[in-house]
Amino acid sequence: MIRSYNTEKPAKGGGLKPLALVIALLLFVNLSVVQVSAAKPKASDLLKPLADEAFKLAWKVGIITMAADVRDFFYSLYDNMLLLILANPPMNAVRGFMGFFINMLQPFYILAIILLGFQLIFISSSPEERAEIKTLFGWFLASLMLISLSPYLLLLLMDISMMLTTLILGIADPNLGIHAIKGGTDVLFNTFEVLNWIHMTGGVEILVLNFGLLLLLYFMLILRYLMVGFWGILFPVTIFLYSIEPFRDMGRDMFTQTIMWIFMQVAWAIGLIAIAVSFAGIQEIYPQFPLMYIYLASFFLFFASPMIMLGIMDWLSLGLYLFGTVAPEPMSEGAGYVEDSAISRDLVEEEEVVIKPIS
Amino acid sequence: MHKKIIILVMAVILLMSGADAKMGSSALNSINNVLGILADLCNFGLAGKYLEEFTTYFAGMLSRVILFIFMFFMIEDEDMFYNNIEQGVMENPSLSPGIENVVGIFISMLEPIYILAIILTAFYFLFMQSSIEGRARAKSLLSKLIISLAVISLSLPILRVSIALSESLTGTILNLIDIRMVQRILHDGIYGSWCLMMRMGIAHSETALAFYLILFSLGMWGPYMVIGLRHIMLVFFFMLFPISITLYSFNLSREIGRRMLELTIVLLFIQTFMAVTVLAISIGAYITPHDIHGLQVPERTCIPGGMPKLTSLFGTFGEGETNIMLLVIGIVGHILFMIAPLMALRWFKGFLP
Repeated sequence: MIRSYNTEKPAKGGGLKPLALVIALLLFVNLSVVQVSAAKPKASDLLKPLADEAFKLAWKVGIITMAADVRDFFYSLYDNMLLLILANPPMNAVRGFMGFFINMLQPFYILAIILLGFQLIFISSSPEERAEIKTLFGWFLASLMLISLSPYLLLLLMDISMMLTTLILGIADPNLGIHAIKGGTDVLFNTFEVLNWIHMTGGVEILVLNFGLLLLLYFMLILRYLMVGFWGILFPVTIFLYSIEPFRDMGRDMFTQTIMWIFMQVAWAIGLIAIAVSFAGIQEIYPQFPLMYIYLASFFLFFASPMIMLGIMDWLSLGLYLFGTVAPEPMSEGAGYVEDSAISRDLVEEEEVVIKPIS
Repeated sequence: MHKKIIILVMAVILLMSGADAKMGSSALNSINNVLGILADLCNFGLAGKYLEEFTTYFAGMLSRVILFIFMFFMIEDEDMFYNNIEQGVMENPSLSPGIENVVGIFISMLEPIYILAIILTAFYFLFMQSSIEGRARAKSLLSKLIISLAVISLSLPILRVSIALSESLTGTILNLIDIRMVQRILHDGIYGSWCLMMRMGIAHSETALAFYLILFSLGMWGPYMVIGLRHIMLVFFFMLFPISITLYSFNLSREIGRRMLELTIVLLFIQTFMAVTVLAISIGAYITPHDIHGLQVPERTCIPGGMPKLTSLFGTFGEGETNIMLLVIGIVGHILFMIAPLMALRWFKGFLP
């Protein structure tokens, strides 16, 4: 267990700081009084810089108030975060657009199946060719069925993802995680505020960074929503491309993308819960740890969670690759079985295999 | 909308003419008089000094407001991307005489080479005594040469048919969408940026930097750059089409020929991909509090609140307010449109045998 070094008593010499400050202030006032008395200024000469500073101060208050107002506008992100993480595009809208692609692809499949049937019945000569056609026939039938069912498959994927996300978010209090992320942007805004009090243009870069990050976070959440819609619309095309040998790689990539964007909410949920748990944990273990760094780290972890998901998705694409390599094997075996039973041949005498020890 | 602007401009002209009647013989004189009074403020004693200070800040604020209002007319301009989204997506390089000439030069360069190669291969096939494998290879090469000569000679009609196919597919997809709704979504994103820029920039111009960047990089430069880049690259690959076919038809240069042909196809059909992106953007219209129950959608006016008269005056410039969903969805729509071609280039490769 990590122990704090300064929880027992204040650091050595800590009590001297206020005294030193008071002495410095007295010296400064004394020096100012001497200087001002020596210059013998008029009242108006003193009032002009005061008026200047008063205007500047009022202006700074205006800038900070305005910035705080826009910050509050973006802070709706934190109120909406859970809703946006869990949000999926409405299926009725996506299905409407998917229908276009399904209707476009179905005639192609029907034509391909008819042509294959024609080839199987009238053209093909060798058993190998017939087995190959049958394999293709199976693929086409399976993918035609999958394309017709693609809206339901998409709905299933979205439901599974949402269920998982809800389940993960139930593990700990996600609001604690949101609080930690919000702390990160609070830190940036407070820094801007302090710098702006010092100088009117001070901290503007920090403010731009703060608003940029808030907007980016909002963009990510909304981009996922739109991307799920985008890949959802293209889902029939994805299945179609995956079912055709020359386009299989492309279909696989598209399928990976579809899964990745749908399941990104799970990554966010895990990120949020990880932040919540670690935020609560670190305060218990190390109470003196400056919260500012935890807040900023939380903010950037939330950003990173989709990237982590991308890394995990590499494994998924490997899985898909393996499926693509292995799947045709049983299907061709099946086709071969059909072919074997179709052509007449002699019965095969089964042999008993006896393993004998080598003498 | 236009009526409102005309009324506003007329009001300004009337005010100017009123000032003119009181202070001088011409409009220029009246402005000079006002500036003269402002310059003499320091002579009015202590109160003048305060007034001068106040006037300096106020004048800065006013100049920024005027600048932002000018920017409003720019974002409402017909050159903005969202006003041309359909044309932008449907845009294809026409096979102009320039492209035809270049393709023609390549064809006329390659055709004699092909004819010579065909004659030599045929000569070898007919008269040279060689192995069965050698004759089979010569036969295969002969058929490849004839096919690729035919494709090269038909380069221009093939390109025309490909463009027509891509346009027809894109047009069919775009017909599914209510383009005005998508335009509205994208416009609202840019308008929201303008609104927040105005709100922030009134107090200090530098604090509006983030919104200023969004306004111009997404509303103008980004999408047009993507469309323009596709156009230029497509012209480039159209010109190289006969060369791509030639390279693709020989085993030695098949890899590079394949990549060039793939790029030609992908760049051409990116417009279909863009149309699907526009489809996806239209889904953004469904992100409303009604569809996501409990969603909070705060609104902001383009100028600081508490001044209803001023707010209604600024309502002349668009709606006078924005909300977080309109802003974010509009901007994300622009970003999605810009990254779609990159995604297509990333994923659609290696599909040619």
